[in-house]
Amino acid sequence: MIFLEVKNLSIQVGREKVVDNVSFSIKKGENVAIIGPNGAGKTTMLRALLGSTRYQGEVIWHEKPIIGYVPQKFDFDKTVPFTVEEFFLVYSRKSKGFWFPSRTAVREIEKYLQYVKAEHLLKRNLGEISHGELQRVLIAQAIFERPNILLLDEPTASVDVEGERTIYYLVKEMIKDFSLTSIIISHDLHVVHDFADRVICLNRKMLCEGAPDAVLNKENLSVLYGGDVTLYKHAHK
Amino acid sequence: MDGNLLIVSVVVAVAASFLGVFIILRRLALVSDVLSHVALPGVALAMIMGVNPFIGAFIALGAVTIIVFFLERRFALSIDAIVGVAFTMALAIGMILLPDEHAAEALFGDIATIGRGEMVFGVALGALLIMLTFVLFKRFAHATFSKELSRDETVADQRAEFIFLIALALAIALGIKVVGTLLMGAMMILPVVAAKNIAWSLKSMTALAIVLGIFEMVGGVSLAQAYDIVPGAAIILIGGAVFALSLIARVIGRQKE
Repeated sequence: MIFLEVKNLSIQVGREKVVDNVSFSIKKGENVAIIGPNGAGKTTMLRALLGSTRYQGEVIWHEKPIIGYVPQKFDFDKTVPFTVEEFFLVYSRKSKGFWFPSRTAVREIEKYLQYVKAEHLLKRNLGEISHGELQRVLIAQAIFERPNILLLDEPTASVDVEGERTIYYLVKEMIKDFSLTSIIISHDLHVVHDFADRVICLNRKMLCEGAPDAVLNKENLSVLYGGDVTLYKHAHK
Repeated sequence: MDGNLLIVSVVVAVAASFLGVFIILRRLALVSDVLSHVALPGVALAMIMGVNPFIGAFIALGAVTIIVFFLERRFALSIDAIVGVAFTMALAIGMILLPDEHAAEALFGDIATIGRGEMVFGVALGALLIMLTFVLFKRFAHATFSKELSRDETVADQRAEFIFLIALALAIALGIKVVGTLLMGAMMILPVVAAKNIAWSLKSMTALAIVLGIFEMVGGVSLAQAYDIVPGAAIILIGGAVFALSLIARVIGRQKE
């Protein structure tokens, strides 16, 4: 069953066409990775799906999307005392109250934090926790309201390699447990290979599309990134 | 201090520090301070025309706030640049217009000369602002922390921002009688920055800011009456002292960790 259909999507930023006539569709339950060099329009395209930027063309949801979104960066004033619990309450779409949240609401937050092994962070301030911890909190917050689609924009851009693998592992588990559809932007081709059912290569125009094994070959990657890029496959336990 | 005076001071203090939380969260500390000076030409015009200075102040503040809000969006100018221009213009116009005999009161305020009608009006407006901030707190916080997470809710956030700026204008106008145009901005900032130093969450920061705001206001007005000094100045001096203490408390707290 098709969940999302994108037809002839073009996005203009200023005078520049950042995304040029891109069409694809995503089935329910599918995990799609978008790869491409910096400035290829990946984030902009995601913003069009979120409805937070103007575009030409069509974005058709065949089922009402409840979007969980993990941004590339989350800028905020780190000196402000703002706890993880308060962060969940403020960004919750359903009203859970802010001043006096119910015990059930707090327990629910804890439950989602447990998913990303971050339950100990509930009362900690967002400004005091590490990048990796913050990223896990953002992921928990994204699934907190039971989305049916998860959009991840380089969720590990500011995390070290080990933390990165942990985060992808957690995301993969969650997608399975909640039977989510997901779109992920990533620069790590190994992650993409392990993670995605399908890969979309974007550099303003759509350059290739298909299963990771079929798409992630030398020709496609050198067209996409320029120069000599190869995915060295290695055995996974 | 008599009862009525006490009620007005407390209401103004609570409204100012409650809204002040978002001034600090948005890093608008100097913007609000500068914005409070914009009231001056409004106060001056009101005095010349013989109407209540509050109305003049609110109209001047409201007009400038709305202009700032739209200029910021329309031309992608930074808010401090626009407010900087508006402020100096307003101050210049205010200085030309302001009758000499009223200058001191407009600049420094005098809560002791507040009339009965003004008192009732002040308390009602203050209570309204407090309720508004309480109800919209979550929405204000939502609009403050991150634009990236706001998703499709940007329209609601923009509306919240507009309401916030109008509330700010009202709160500043409300405080002018008490602490004067020059110091009203500080009344919104000092209790909040002190609370931020010692708070452990957004909720505790807000609660502490309100408590400190009341303490600074009531303490300042009492001090002013006892030693016959300008109330606005007394309030701000206490606020400064409380901030210094909070800083010391924070440093000690950090060392213990």
